[in-house]
Amino acid sequence: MIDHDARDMNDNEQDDAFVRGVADTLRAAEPARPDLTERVMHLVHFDVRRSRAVARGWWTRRRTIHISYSAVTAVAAAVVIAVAGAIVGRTLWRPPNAAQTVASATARTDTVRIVRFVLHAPSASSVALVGDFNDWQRGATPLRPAGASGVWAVSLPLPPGLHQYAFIVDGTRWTPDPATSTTVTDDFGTTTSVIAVGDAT
Amino acid sequence: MEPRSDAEIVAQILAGHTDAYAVLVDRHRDRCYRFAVRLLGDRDDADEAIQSAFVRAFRGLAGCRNPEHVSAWLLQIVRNECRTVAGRRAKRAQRFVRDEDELNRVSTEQPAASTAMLEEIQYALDRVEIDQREAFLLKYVEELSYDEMSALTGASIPALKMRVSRACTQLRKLLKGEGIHS
Repeated sequence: MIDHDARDMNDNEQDDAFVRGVADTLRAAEPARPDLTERVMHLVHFDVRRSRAVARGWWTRRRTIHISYSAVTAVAAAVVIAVAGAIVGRTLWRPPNAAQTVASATARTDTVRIVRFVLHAPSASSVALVGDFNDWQRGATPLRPAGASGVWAVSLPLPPGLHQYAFIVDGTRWTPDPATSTTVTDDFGTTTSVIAVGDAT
Repeated sequence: MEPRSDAEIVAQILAGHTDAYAVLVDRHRDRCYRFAVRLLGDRDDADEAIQSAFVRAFRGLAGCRNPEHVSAWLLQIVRNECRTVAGRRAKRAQRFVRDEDELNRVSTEQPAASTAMLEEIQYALDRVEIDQREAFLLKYVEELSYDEMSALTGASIPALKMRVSRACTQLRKLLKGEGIHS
């Protein structure tokens, strides 16, 4: 028994030393990325402004894109938006790496609106969609390569109403959608695209 | 001049001074990031988790019942975000086949001894079940009491003690021969 007790005590001491060693190493400084506070404050200010805008009823009066519900007119709308996007992309705004974006919206049924977001960004290694519908989380809605070279796309159901969104290229570059001229620019000069789904009145 | 306390900053923010939130973020970001990195084992995932956590914390600041202990409250939100990110990552991982040999070939440079040790421990930690990993980190790295850990995780104290014990056993097994015992 004495030998057992001595061995147990020895094991416990070794355990303590082991845990201390592991914990000391894991406590090494791990500084957050330098731009973290700036990113958080950007989103926080955006949140505050949006809340104030909603409180004033401003958002409910904006309605600039109308979504068609028949298959034929949905395709036509997609073409119109694509052409408009290409023009906007060339003349008014050019995203990083000359990326061009196209967004189109179609509806499969009267109650579920499927919106397809497409970005032409040949030099991008990743593209994600952020918006009020995914809580602006970068990793929530990645776009995937969609057939043609450099084209990224994702489709997702959205509830009727106005939605703000942007693309995140290569994990860091905030890229509004040049396919739509409906945008909101905040006090810091950041532009966010707006899409209307269904009856947004 | 005395630095403002966390509770004073929270009061300022709730009074409408949004910019004061940057002070709070700056004050707690490194600890939150370290916890997220150790728990998730990935800096990109950790960065995503804490950005999201700080935005959520701002939205819910009025619900922080104990502003003088905002640090523990933030850690709880970071913990929840890490769980969400880990869940998403697990789904993503199902689409890839892990090739351990390929992973082992990725880095051929010899890191500094301290970095190598940290990497070995992080590698082992990543293989500990997430509940146990979280309990170990809260206990020994964040140095919380079991009462605080229970409040943060919602788990009972006996359950947390069991998780910590199992994490230690698992880590010892995984790190045997790595020089940690000395």
